[in-house]
Amino acid sequence: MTSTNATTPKFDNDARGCLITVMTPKEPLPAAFKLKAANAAHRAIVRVTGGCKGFTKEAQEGMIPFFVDSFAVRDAAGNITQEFQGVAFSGGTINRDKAEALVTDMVTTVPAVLAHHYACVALSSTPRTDDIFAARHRSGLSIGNQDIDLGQHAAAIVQVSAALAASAWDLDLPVYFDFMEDLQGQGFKTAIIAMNGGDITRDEIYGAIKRGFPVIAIEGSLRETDAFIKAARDGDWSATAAEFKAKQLGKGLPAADVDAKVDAIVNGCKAILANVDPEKVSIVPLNDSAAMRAALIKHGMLVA
Amino acid sequence: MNKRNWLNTAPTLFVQSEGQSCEKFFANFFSQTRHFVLRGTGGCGNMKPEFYPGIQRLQDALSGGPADSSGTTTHPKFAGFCLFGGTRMILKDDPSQVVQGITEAFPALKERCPDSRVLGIVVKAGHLQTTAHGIVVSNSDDDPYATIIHPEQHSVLLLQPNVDHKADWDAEWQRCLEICEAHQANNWDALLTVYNGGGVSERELLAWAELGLTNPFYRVLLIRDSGGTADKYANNEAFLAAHPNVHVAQNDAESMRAKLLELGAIV
Repeated sequence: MTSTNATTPKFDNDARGCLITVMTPKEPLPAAFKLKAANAAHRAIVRVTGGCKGFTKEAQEGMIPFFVDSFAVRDAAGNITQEFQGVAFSGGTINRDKAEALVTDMVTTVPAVLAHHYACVALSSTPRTDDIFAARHRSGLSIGNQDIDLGQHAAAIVQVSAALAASAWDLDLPVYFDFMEDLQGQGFKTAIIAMNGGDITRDEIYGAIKRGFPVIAIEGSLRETDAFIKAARDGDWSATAAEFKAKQLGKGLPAADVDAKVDAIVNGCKAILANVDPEKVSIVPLNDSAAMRAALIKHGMLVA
Repeated sequence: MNKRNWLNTAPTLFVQSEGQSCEKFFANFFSQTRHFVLRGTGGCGNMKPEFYPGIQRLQDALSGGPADSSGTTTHPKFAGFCLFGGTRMILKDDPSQVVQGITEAFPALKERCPDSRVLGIVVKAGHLQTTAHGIVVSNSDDDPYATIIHPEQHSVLLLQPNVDHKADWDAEWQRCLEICEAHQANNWDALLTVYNGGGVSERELLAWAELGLTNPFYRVLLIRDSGGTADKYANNEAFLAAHPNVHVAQNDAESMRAKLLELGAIV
């Protein structure tokens, strides 16, 4: 975890800064936003999804260095021979510490961090889950108490309407999946990296599989990503939607009703996984950058 | 040759109604092609036959031609995305006969320029008819020709107000200008080439010329001695002096080639 007051992309084609778009799910992503992807030197896009809830301090602190190290190939002397030059895509939010410095401690900051180190393009789609603010005493844009990471090339905020402040956390999923599918249709390599995460991350993992995107799942990152690994590798579905089940039971809903809902989720996931090409799923141990790098190379995100 | 080539190489066709977007057509710009947008406009049905030969010269200048006896071309070629009207005019009495017009200058780039993407923006100026000779988009009683969607291009966007109404001819250049805004915002390069043309071409030319006063993205190349609008402004010294983003080439392949090279359209 590092604190910083600003990040600047290594490759920057717009000195004005980060392009901000506020849109509804029924609207298309603006053309100017989408063309940012076409500006990437390497035709590959990776969506980083999930979270880091329940991480140990060590795992948390190792996360960003793990991503930075994974997205480059080095020679024996440690010199970079290839770096990621595709599109890194995520949720686009970033925290601030008590001193109001930006803190890179979430998966949503990975694209901007990568773009700061490597000549890649950083994009995000973020559901507007709260009011949008521009702080008076410093530059920056916030949704509720989280900033939009302005170290990216472009950020799309997806809202139901201007009048409705709190949208669902998964409001941007169809928008970003459609965008990635369009890129895939024009020869871009696509993949998602799943780490930790709850119900929405599960939807993202299986949504990606359904669309033929490779999934790089980080083992040991807990929650729905680990549940997916158990299901995909071991055929063990016991952890899928376990958190959902606990939450529902915690609300006092009848167990039979909750079980029926969980069964419906699991059966939906099973149907999707039944048709997956095993080559499109990579399992990478948490904070093992060599394994992650190998998976990125395998799925065409990095050139060896 | 693959038996299914007829299908695999056929242009994709998307129909866009007013107020709708067309993401699948725009996705063409994600293809691995040089970041340059060439917009080509000019005369169609009203072009006088004396100006027909210049269309071939423009095509040659863009595609590295003319080819020698072995079919080889040695000059620089267009690389990038070409936005044009996307249509072809064929005689009603003999549909095998193509009527020359500006939209014949660009489709050949698909074959001759490997690093190009030829994209048609077609106005639904009449109610559509499917025929053995192509999809008719305009069929006026006053004209000896019908206008079809050009068979040689990568992808086509057909513009209509809605399924029941016809579009205005200005819709084509207006949509092209909207599309180009995204390229401008991403620091791509562009060039509007005008050969001949009437009132619609004039409005487009003037829009680009004005935008170019404050933004270097919007550059125009007029072909002098091609008649119509292009000639009107290519011979207007006061207009040219006031619009340094508007350039002029003579109606010969070498002059066009030199200007296209200077402006970065061919490489």
